[in-house]
Amino acid sequence: MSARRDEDFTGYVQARLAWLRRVAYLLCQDWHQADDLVQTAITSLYVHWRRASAMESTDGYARTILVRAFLSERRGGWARRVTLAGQLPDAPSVGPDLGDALDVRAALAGLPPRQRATLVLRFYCDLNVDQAARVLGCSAGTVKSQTAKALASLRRALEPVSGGGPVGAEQRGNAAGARGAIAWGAKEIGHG
Amino acid sequence: MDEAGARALMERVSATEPPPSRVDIGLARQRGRTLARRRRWALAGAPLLATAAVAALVAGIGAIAGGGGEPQIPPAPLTRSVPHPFNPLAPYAAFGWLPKGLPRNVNSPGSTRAELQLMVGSQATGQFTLTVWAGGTCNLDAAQARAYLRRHVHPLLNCAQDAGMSWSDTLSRPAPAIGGRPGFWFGGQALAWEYARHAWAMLYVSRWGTPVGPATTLKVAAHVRFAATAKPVVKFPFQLTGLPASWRMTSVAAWRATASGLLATTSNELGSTNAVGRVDGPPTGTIGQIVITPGKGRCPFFGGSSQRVDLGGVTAIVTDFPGSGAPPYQGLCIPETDGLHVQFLEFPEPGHAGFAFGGVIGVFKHHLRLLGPNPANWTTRPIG
Repeated sequence: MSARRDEDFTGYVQARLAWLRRVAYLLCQDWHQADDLVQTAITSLYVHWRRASAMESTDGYARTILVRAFLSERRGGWARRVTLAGQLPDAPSVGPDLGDALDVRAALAGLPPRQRATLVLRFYCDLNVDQAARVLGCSAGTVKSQTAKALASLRRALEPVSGGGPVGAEQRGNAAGARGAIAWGAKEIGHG
Repeated sequence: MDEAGARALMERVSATEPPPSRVDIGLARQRGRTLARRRRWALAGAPLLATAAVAALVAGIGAIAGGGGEPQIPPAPLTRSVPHPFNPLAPYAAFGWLPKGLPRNVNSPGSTRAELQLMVGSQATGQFTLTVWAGGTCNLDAAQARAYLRRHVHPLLNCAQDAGMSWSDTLSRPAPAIGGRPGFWFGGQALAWEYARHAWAMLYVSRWGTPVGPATTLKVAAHVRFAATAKPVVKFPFQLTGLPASWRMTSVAAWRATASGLLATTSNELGSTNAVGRVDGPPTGTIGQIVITPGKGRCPFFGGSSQRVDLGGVTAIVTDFPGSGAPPYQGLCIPETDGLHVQFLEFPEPGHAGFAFGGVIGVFKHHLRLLGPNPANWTTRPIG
């Protein structure tokens, strides 16, 4: 690659690094893994830089690489991902905001990777169904069904429990959901 | 939870304060360069397979996009007003007016018999990528496109490269006329227009930060010059001699504009690069991925399949590639000779056994003339 192209690439990544890390974090739910994912993605972006920089949306190209790298990695790391979701630390002493954040994060982490990626693309990256389908390499119908399933899972995980009492993890089959049921409520996300 | 709730949730989680970044951009460049080099070689045989795969993918995309009751669009008849195919050595189009302050560093990621791509500018100042298709390579004419849009159907414009590889996108709405020719917006602010009957051009614009306005895009498009030249102008640091008379340069990637003209010097890490073969043969050519550039380069050495060969005092790395489903092929790489880095592949001719020139060593010894690093000595006739 020419020095000019190196310069363009470096300039782009420096400018968009914070955004790439946040998208990766939403996908991975862990900053260290997110940084690893971004490292993988920008290496691939460098290889494809000629094409990426010629695209109408370099961000879109980078995002596609990032999401596909995430899904590819998760196909081989399912067991580890499940363990991660189940090992969120208890945090009895944290303040309500951090506690809520952990609950929400745990609820997201409890979703299968493809559903999580669908939600990130639809509701963080603001892609429509067709655009998300192109990134995920599936049909628009699949995106719609994955979105519906993911929202339903989140709803179950985060909805307030009738009577307001805590529910054990074993009863809900999802430790994250149990935590969410205690600390999360309609006030946080407007869910009635 | 509804969609608004999901958006709020995403915002909340993403608002988490990040720790210091461990991402290393320099490391990405370093590994990326290594990967690009490996890909250039490892994927050398892939175009044959990739062509089929991409064709299948495009067919799949077309099927999806064309679903839901959208009418089938018959292929447009071949035009007589625009050449088909293009001559990859004679760029059919050129930029005219460009916004003030835009670097004039025109280069071409690729030029084939079906398609010419030109790129100018940078992401910082605004980058314009022009794709011009030869006549009869796209499935629609403007009248058909307008008819679909009037019926609130977004038509799929599909333009085919050689060997079944295609580009396609959905036209979203009419655009103002470009040089008197009908135009359409697609994919946001990309512009497609029928610059001659059954012949299309597309202009993509990208820029970091402030977007380029549609008025600027339209003005750049309106000043694109077609039929810019009919004679070969791209200069090469090599000449292939003694080839069959029917052989042509089937693709050129990538050239760039310099004070001394258009020079095919830059390498394309991903693939097609310069290729030579029969005009009715595969776009990969029979001698393909020709990367001959001034200076010294690195040559990959694959244990078990590469060997060092002395060619009259010059050490070359010759590699036998198994083909992975396609017929085996060979690669030759010389870090530097006559001030040039030399690298190319030879594929067996379709339908013929063995290599046309006895393998890459035969090509190098009997058919390749190197012209040195000085562009003044280069030629616009890469096949002599």
